Amino acid sequence: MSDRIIWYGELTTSRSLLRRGLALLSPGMAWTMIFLAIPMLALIPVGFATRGSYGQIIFEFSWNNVYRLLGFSTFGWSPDYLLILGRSVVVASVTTLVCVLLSYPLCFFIACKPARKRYFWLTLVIIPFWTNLVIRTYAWLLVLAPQMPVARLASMLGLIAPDSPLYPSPLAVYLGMVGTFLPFVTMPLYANVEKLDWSLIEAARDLYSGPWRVFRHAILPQTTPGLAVGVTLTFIPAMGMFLVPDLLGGAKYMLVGNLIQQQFGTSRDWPFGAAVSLGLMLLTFAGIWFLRRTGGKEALH
Amino acid sequence: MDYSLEAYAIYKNYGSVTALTNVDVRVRPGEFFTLLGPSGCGKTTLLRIIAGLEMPDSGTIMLRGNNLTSLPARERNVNTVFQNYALFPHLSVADNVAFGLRSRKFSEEVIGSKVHAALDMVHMTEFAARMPDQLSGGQQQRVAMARALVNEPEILLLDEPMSALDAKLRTTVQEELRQLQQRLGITSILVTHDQDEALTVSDRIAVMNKGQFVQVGTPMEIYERPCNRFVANFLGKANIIEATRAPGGVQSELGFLQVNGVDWETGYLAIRPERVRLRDEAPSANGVQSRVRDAFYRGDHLDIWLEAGNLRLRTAPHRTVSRGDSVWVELPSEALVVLHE
Repeated sequence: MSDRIIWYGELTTSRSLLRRGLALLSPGMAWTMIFLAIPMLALIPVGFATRGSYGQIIFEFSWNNVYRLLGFSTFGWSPDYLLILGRSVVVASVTTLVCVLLSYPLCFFIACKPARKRYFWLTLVIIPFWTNLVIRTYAWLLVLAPQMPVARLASMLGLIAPDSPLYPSPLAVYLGMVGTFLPFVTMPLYANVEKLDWSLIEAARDLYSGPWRVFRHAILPQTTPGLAVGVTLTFIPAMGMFLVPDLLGGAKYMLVGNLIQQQFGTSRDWPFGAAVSLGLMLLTFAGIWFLRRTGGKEALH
Repeated sequence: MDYSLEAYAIYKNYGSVTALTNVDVRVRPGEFFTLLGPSGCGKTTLLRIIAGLEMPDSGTIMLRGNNLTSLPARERNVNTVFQNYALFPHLSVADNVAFGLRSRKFSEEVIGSKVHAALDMVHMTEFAARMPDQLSGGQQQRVAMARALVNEPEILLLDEPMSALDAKLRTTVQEELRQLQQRLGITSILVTHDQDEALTVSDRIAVMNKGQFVQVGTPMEIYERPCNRFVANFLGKANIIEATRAPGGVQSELGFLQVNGVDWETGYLAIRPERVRLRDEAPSANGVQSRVRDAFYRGDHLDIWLEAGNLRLRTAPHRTVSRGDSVWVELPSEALVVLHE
């Protein structure tokens, strides 16, 4: 009986501990496997299958979907799908960047409030979460409508034609995207800013640093964990977002999310939709890898 | 006389809390000046105002005759050693020390030699490549010193730099700090609540309480001639005796005591425990006979607590005095300090 161990005051064996651990883990693992891993794996065979004439999936291996995504078709090469993918990367990156740029001052603003009042401001940041995304996006349509002050001001300045709305436009898409994702950056970043060691900021100032050097050496290293979480939580869903660009961007500002939705919806081309999804996944992984690599270098320096 | 640092009529409030009230400081070149006081007395605030990390509500600060009251920290040629050292955790020891020089865009060659010299000064050259979290508290403190000194500041500011060290190490570091300061001849201002530290390292001490200077003087002046009960109690131990003036001295619960310079009708006298003398028989003046309430053998000395006036006295440990003994003590008139306020 040499296997007996004491685990938090309980006399047990490592085998029974393992069994208990697996039992406790299995519901979560089962959930993840059934609803996440298996459907994602299913995308792979579907992505290399062919669409039948009635929209059914014919499991015949072919590279056609990949060629099509890269822009090759019977009528020659066109960059439409690549443009959509590229635009998605740009929109997700810019959205993330704007959220980060807005979040830093916001977090410092909240962290500098007396402890009691911080919850009030944090609640204001979270309130948009309580509203459904569709409703929030429609609210933007209302705000940007021709009769509203913003559009009127824009037309007075000659930026848009009189009595026209500010949507569909890239600006509207960015407004919607940043509005949706801001709390995802602000909340984790705030957790770091609240616990910030201010003496490092003072040390940097004491050692002749200007604002950028203070940020680079005293604030950024202390907020990197929150920043990494925020960027990941924003960049990944922003890459696949289809509702906001659909409502605020219109047909001319299609993102990869809309393309996928179209394939699985109106076009009834599941194999191509699956192929685009795989492409999106690859791009997202590449983006995260890139962020981690540059972030890792920062941490090493 | 030219001063290295002068501050006049400094006021600072945090909302309704008063941190500093009408504080004047003058620090001479090469002097080791210490701000000593209990927590919340405003000493750290004053240091931060000198560093430029905080702005005074009113008042003037001059560094070598130049007014720098409104200059931000990074434009002041003073550097601080922070209480928790505030080393940048993502930078190596060498990069930490080089930080101020890089801010001021020195060439890498100059930085290299200056950093090496600074680390050499605090005996940390072999740790140049280490990260701060790989160092002990004492080593971190040395790096923080090097990081400040490498910039050759006009004034070195030290914000309780030894409070995080254990008691034994602290004594060594205090002596080293004093030697280093003397060798470099750098004007230094230290903030501390530790009286031993203040006495060990300082040329002059300013005792602070409730946002004001209570007494400024050399360690010996402050210790031997405290001006009031606060200073007498804060620095070292003191017997405080309530008394009324009488011809040639005072009348107290210990009887008549001969003492010069009494300028009040009723007030307080102070005497250090080690200045109270144990006598075999009644002395000619200022003698008190009392039973011993308790006696504590402390190795290098003996602490005796008398019943008369709650007097405490400290003496060499050779005598055997124990609880209940009857003894004579003398309160020499030159050891009695007339307190004010």
